Amino acid sequence: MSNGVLAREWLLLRAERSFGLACLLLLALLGYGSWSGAAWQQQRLVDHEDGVALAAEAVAREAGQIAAIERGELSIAAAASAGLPHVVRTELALPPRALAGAAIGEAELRPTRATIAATTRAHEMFRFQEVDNPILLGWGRFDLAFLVVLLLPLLVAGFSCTVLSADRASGTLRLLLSQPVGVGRLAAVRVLLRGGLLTLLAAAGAVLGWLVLGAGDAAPRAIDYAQLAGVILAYGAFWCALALWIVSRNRSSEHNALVLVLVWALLVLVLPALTTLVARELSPVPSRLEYITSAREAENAANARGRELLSGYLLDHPELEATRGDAVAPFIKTFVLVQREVEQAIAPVVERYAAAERAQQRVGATLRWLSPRDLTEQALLQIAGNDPSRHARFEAQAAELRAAWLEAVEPQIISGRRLSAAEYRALPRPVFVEVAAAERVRDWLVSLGLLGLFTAVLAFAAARNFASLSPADDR
Amino acid sequence: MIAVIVRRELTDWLRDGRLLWLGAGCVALLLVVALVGWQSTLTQVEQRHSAIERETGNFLGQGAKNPHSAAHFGQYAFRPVLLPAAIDPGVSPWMGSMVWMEAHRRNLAEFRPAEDGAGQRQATGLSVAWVLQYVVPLLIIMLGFAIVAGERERGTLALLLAQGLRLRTLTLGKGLAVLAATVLLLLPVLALILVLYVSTPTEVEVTGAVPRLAWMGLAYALYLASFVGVVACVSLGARDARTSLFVLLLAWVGLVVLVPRLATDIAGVRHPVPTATEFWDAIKRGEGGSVMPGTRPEERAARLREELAAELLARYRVERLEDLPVNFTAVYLQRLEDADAPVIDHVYGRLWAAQEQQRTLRSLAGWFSPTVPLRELSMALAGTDPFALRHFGDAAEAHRRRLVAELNGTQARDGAGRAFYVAPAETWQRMPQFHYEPPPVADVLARHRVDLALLVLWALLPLLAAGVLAARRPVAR
Repeated sequence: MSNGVLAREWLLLRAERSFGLACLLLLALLGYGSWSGAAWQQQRLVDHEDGVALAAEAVAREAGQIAAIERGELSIAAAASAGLPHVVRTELALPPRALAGAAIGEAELRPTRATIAATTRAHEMFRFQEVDNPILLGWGRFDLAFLVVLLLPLLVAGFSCTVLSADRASGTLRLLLSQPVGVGRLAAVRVLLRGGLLTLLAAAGAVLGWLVLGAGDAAPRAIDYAQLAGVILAYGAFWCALALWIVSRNRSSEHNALVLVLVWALLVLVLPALTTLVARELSPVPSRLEYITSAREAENAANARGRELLSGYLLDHPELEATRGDAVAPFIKTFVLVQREVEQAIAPVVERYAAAERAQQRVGATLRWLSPRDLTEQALLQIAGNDPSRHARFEAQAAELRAAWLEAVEPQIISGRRLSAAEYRALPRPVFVEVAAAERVRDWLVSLGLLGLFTAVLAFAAARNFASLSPADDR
Repeated sequence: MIAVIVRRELTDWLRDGRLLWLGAGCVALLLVVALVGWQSTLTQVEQRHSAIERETGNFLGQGAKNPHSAAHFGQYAFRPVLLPAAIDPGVSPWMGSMVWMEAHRRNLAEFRPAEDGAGQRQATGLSVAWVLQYVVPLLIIMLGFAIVAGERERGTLALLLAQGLRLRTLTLGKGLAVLAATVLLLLPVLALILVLYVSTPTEVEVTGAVPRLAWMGLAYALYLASFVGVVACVSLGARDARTSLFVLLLAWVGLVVLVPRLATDIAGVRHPVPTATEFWDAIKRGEGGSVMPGTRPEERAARLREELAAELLARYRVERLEDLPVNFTAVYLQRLEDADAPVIDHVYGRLWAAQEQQRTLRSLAGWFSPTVPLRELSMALAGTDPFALRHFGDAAEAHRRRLVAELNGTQARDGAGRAFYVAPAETWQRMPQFHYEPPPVADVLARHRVDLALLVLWALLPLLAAGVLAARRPVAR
């Protein structure tokens, strides 16, 4: 019987011109979203590779010059800065993932390269970053995630809200309720056919769009595609269940449409913004202006004690007392020690900032469970590698690398010695360590599980409503 | 007759609860975002003032120091917060809030408020302007989608027209009812919000706020009127209320969400700004400068030093740099600054040109959506658009050059004959302090005259189209 209903409903749906147009529109927009996201990703990839190549070239040149000086093939005058411990630098880069352009989110706001050198202050590590137009940063990119979270539910809702109310308006609902096919099953078939088709189209369109237009130099793996499609399907299923529940309340088409639009506006536009707002108000992050002014106050204070700092350091480390032929100017030594003092002085401000940010993220992550849009967006961002936690991981690793770097070069700077080839080779090298794949899959499953839970609750509520419908309800 | 229709329609919406629930939701949202936005503005202003005070103290309290070290220590310029920014923060959360003015380098504004915490794009976008741009058009749609289509669906339209009522009068009356409901809901709330903003004693920049707010009010009135026109057109043309609602929702998605985002995206792809690597590399290579462009900074510096030494030794007819009546290092450092200035202007100029091309392309989308010109005009009037940042950045750069020249000049003059000159602590008191005046409202309007004209068109054309449709549209299919 269900197959017969399905076939009949499919014939009816095929005759609906607006549905076909909506599918075409969705596909066209997905195509553009894939292309646009891929263009962004390609630019990111080129920038990343350029940066890595330049950094590698600098390391090779430096190592070559140090070795040549040691072998006596190059004079120090010809390569004055070679091996100077305050001049050598390194860069940690965050590579874009294979589906980075599918969900860009706030990736453009976050640093992807960290410059590490003894003369680079902590807050200057991520300095030479974004030069993008703030309009693009603020209004966001036209990527797949944007289309999925915003447009897909509206289309699902729009095409599903009249699946029973139209019968009610035309007076055929009583007839339907007296048929052996349960009205719930009929409504479910209709909603699933409309909403399910749109969702399937979105998932397939996203994957195919990326395969055809998007991959570029990066090659996503099957699991990436599977995760992407899984999230879209779960989100679509949630909206189908919501539409089914609203339909099951047996009201007019106008009423159903109004409620669905209101729910859409609430869940897609208002709730995500409010949850972030609540998280921000509950755990406000201290001002960055305070951070910078505190750092400069500390710098002034430490500068005034510059000589004292240097003498104190040498008292603790007499073995580093400079010998003749000191390669490092005294003001550089003072600068390095002043920065160390500044960082110690502002450590409480930095810690307060970091703690507040962590608390805000915790509250935000908890509140996100209330918002299907946030769950979906977060899952998509994780697949794309543009989620805030990956960026936080990158920043933490950059800070660790900087600490290790300073530890390695500081004694050389104070003693005024150039680095030998062996010492240069032994400096910490930048490698970004990704979060384990299992952990990523676990987060993805949690998001999917929660979306599934919302879907199940709504489907259950709809089934109960349908079960209580009787022919007398066709009033 | 029109007054009767308006009253009747308002009564109907009150009875079916639509006006009450939608209105209450909209007003509550508006109040929440207004209060949160105001609180956030006050916090920003307070932090800015405290930072300016401390930063002034930092610069003046450097103690005895070499003037060029003071130039490297530099000063910070903090972007001002105008009162209308509380209504429309525009893209200010994504623009840096301060500029570090130091020797040798023009920095981009740093510390964007949106960087503080994740998911800020959603929260920082939540403002009075956001509610007016996104939610109020939805409210207009919900109130008005059935104004004619509903009557047609119920079969009452033919009855009304048979009684001598003209379709144009009916549409006008119902359209005015939608407008009246929107105004009645919004006006008291917006007035209350403005009173709150103006009456709170703060350090928010209020100069020029009244004309800015008045123009913003006009822009939003035109915007909302355009939606009333669109709603009337669709409801006149739709066969039933459901179709009308569905078409209007698609129109809302298209006009408010898709077209602006698509336009921004296409503009970004069509006129890309340089990547970070390209941008900083161009400055490093001295692109656009007159001194050995394309070479490494050290090479250019060495050439400049050589040329300057020869020039000064010849001018003052001495044999050694130590014998010059000026401090050679300071004159050389200033020469470097002068050589870098055209490079900075060239590379930044290219960035601004790309942003300007993006804006021009984006403005074209104003023909397809009233949201595009409204957003551009609203944030420009609020001083929260990229141009405001650029204007501020240019002022900071002009000050940076003046400050560094002054510091180098001090060293050149007072440090003559000394290898390492240390200026007394009171030197910094004589240095210029940064003052900034945002562009006057007339300049903002001149820059956005096309956007304003497009908004007027968007307000008028759908209304005219509705008039034409009402004259031609058959009662039923």
